[in-house]
Amino acid sequence: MQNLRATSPLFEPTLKIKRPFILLELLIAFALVSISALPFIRYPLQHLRWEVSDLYVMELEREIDKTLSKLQIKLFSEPVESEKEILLKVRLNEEMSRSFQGKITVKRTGQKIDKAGKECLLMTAKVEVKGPHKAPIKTERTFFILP
Amino acid sequence: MDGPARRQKRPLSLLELVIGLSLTAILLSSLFTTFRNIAKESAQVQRIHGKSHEKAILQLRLQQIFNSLSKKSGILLVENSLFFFYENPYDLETAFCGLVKGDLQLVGSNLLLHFTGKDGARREQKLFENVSDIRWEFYDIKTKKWSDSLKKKRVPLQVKLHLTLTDKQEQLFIFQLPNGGVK
Repeated sequence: MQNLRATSPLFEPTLKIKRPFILLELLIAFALVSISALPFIRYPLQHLRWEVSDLYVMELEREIDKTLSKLQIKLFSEPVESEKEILLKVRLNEEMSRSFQGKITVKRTGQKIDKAGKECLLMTAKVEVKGPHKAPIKTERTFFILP
Repeated sequence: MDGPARRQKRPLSLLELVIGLSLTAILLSSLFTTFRNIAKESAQVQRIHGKSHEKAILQLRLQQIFNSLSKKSGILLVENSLFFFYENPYDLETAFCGLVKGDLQLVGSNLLLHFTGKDGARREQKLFENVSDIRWEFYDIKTKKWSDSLKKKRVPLQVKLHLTLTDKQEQLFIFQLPNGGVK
């Protein structure tokens, strides 16, 4: 067996040549390192962004609530005949410094006679605001407009 | 080849060194930018997180109370403190189920909500911190105006709560009363 190793070209000891890295190899290594580092960077950042957007939604809902309260008072003096669309721009406070757009659709949905025999109107306000998430924020409120 | 493995030993060329250094610099700068962004966003979240939650809790809690105000007693304002009776449909403590007396007042720099249940049982809830002043406004449906005082035997349509914080910031909360305008 040892003789065979010595004579056969198949068993010739391998030639080891140490050659430097080529640029392509270096670039591939760099790309691999970058790709493997991505999840460590991406998820904390994404998580924070989600948290910020949730806070925006929370503030936005509060601002929409305020707007609806103002609308209720306005409806007492100017009741809507059948349907009206109002464009809405909600600006959040200085710390958040962002504004969102949407619309309010006010519709007269009916009328009711109260105990005193007076007619009160039923108005429904539907709010749709494009928030930080893909799906818009939707709210609906019904107002009894007393005579 | 009958000798031992041939080894080529040569130092790194300038070009290789420059490429290596520039790649490291790119990687480090992108990492630095990303971590700076994370720190920035984190600071923003920290800053607004507490306040937003405090505001949302105050809005929800008081709206819940105003929605279930007792029709007989309503609300009463005495020196910026609001007193009310409300129907609490369920509670872990039986003393606070049913008709509960409550008041909302500024104690020190905290906006506190007190409840008095059956047999004199008391409970306190802190609604907002760092408040320097509070002001109430009530919308009267008859006069169609906002007023600082409550009309006797008349439930307002809406209630506004102005909070002045210790950092001079103003916060406004509006609550709707379902029986507003009804005697």
